[in-house]
Amino acid sequence: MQVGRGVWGGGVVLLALLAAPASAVYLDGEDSVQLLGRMYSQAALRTEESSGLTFPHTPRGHVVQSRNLVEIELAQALDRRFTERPAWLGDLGYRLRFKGVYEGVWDYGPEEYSEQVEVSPPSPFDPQASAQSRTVHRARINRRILGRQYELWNAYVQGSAGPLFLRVGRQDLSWGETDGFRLLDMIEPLDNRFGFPLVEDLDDRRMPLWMVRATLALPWQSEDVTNLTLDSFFVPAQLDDQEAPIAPRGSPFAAPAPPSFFDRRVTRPGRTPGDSRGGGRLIGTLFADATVSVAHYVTWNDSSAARVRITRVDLVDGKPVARPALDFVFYQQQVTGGTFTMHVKPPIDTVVRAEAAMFWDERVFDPVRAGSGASFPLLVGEAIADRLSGGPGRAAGGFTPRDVFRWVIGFDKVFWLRALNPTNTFSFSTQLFHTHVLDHDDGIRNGITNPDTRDFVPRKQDEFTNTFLLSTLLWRGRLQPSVFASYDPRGVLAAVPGLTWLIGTHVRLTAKYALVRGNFANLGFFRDRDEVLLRAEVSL
Amino acid sequence: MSRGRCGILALLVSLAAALAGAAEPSPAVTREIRAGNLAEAGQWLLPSIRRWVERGDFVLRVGELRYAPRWDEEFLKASTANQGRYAIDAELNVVDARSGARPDFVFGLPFPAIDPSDPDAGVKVMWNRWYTVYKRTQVRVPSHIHVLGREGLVRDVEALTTTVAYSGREGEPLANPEQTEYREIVLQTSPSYVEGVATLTWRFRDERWDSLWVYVPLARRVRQATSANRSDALAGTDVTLDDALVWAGKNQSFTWKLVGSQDVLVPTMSLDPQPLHAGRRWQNGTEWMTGADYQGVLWGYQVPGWTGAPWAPTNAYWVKRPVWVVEGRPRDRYYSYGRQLFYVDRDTFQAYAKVIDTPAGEYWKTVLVDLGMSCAPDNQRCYPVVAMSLFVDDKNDRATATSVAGPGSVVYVNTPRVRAEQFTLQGLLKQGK
Repeated sequence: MQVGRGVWGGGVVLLALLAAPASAVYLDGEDSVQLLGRMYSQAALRTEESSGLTFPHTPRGHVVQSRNLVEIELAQALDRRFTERPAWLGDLGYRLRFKGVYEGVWDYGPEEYSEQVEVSPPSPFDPQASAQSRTVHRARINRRILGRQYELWNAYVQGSAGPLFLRVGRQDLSWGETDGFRLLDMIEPLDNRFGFPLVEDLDDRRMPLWMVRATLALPWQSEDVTNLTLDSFFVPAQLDDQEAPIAPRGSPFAAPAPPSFFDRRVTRPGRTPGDSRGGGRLIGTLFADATVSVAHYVTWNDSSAARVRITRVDLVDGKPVARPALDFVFYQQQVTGGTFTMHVKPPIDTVVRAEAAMFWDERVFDPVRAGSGASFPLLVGEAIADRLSGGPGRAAGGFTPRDVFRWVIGFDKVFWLRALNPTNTFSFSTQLFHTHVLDHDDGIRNGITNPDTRDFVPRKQDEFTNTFLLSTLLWRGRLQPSVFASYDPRGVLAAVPGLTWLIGTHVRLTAKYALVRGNFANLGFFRDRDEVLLRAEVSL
Repeated sequence: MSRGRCGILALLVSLAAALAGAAEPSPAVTREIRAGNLAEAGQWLLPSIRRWVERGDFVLRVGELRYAPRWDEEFLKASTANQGRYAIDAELNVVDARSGARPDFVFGLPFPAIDPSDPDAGVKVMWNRWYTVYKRTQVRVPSHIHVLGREGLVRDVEALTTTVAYSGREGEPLANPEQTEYREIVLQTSPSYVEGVATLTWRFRDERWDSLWVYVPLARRVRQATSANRSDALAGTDVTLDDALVWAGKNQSFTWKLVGSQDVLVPTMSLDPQPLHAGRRWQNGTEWMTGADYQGVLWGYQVPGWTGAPWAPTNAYWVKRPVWVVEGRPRDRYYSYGRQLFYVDRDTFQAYAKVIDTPAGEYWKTVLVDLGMSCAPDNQRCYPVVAMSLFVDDKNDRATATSVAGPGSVVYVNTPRVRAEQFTLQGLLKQGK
């Protein structure tokens, strides 16, 4: 009955909101403390049967996501409270945001999720291990990791002292000019567990960091160079060592991988001062037309480096038994780059966006160097030798650092198609991404196994992705149809048609369909994950 | 007398007053114009408004102003001094009449006397109009945008607009290396999914296109955007960027022609100047603000029992004002609108209305604001501060109505709460979440 009451209560709230005007909710008489919030329920259904090395096997039509999210936000501008403050002090305020997520697929989803169990293959070093000892109750693990999340998502205070603006606390920060995919925007980690990236909002996947952000308006301005600003941030590792979490095995959004007798280890960011994130950028406007920035910062790469590690060697009846593990190592990444944006005036009337950045010593994946394939027996031998000489029996594969250069150019154009939409323009955006690995060699691979060849998928020296986005507003803004598409010349096409329906001021219904077709490369790793996503959202 | 009897007496008095009010129009209202007595409005109605009354959408409470609208002495004195000082160049910029150079700063009406035979009379009227807006100097305006259909409220949005004028401002000119005429930030504040969306516009004091940046909370960053689609309906409403305050476009982007003058009925929320109250004293003089005594608008959909259009301003008075009628045509061939007729006060140069045709020449929309003459005590300062803006799409039988100043919605003029340094990229970054 409690459930019934809750549903009716929710229905009443929904009906009340449908009829209610927007009026911002202020908690004080001066309209300075604003309460904001949203809650939504979202379900995703697979529209094709999983194949290849995807785990778990999911038939067509099965639910892979049943997320319920609530966000409550409190923001206050304090300037009006301190009317007697000195003129140089301003922009005083704070913002708090609580985020709670419940993913129900681990409780009431299809069997392959709510009762997910996997029996790992036996290790060649311990072939007698029982099936019971190799059985992993992944539903329990994933329910704990992915089932519930309650966090103070944002909590910061801010203020300006003359030209200096400071914001301190858990906050979001994004630099760059790209849409959908990131390039220079690598400051915050992305939560790789949070749904299928093609259909989730990028902002929902960002993980805010405890940081100090300082923005200094520089006095050197002229008619040609304006808005000159030094923007910087510092994330003390002692306070925040958040990495981009890897989707665990069994998650419907994890990369495909074969079952393995390897243990799985994650080496997370350190917590010493040297492990901190930080950097700066200089941003300005040229000729009142072009916005330009140059940036350098240190972050933790979202993609961990992978290698094989022998964690120990036991001597069983005098025989060495090695314990191998896949070691996912997060590491600091230096990034240097710049951006350029400009509105090319009519008749061309197009916004041009560009970014370029060098990722210094990025760890690419060379399986042989990482201790996999042919080098695995050597690694095991090294660990056994270590054990026999009195050590713990450890050995680890190596990393392959390479400088990686990335750039993107994008164009945004709004245009009229009055026969289709007489009151609103269409917005079209396209971007071309290029990644170039310096000192590339044929041994460099992606860390994903091709189900057909059972070998790691080659990574090319030059990889390209072209994205497209088309959208408009219909029916007085109630309907927003859009189509996102991505093409990879390696033979992968992804498309996400979507429709958002605004009901009244506070309720939004969203439907999206994610489709991936083509070869097993890059986005094509997820070519068996087509899904329909449905979301009902209520906002304050 | 006991407290109980006292209360009953007070109740009876107020009941009698209410009944008296219901029985006949208040003394301020000379008559009500409805479909049945439309002829009484003479030729003072815009054709679109006449049709609204005819079909029962609007009832016009006609009244007479108890004052003669005029700006404050300082502004009028500066305007008089500008006589003959400025001219219009080929790109429709305001230039010095003798040297042909663009002035760094203009205060007051640049063209205080309009000669209808002057071929530049139309654009001069429109420049005068802009300089009445610029006199607000630094302004902070909350607005509540109601998207309406025949069925009532479709949805609504709240926003906060701040502007800083570089030309036409009171007090000392600001340092202006970027040669801007004014800058504006529109920040959406409600509902939650649009909260934090902010646009920064720089308008240059020459014929260059505006520069526009947008902060999008979903992307967490500032993006440059096109400033060329100022006739695109904002978020599916009936409002375009150029429609704000009747005309928020760039004068140089249109061709102008003065096509006549006449008297028209325009809405006003008060038959007296709307009151402004002194705020803080600062280096640029006194901050002025609206208060609880500012008469706000009550839209039809907000009034129980109202049978007219949901977007009709039910508590407005309609007063007769002399106006210039100026025809404007966009130079941009992709502009949504065709010919537009602007109705601009002959005394104060406030724009009250525009009637919009489609590019094919068919009538489409009417935009209206109230008279909005808002004055400080003793008329030491007067500014255009409106209570309402109305955007009626007659072709599609719908409207967007905006409540601006009112008892719960404070507008600040010449305010230190708005600072020039906010209107930069770093200012926009600070406003971001």
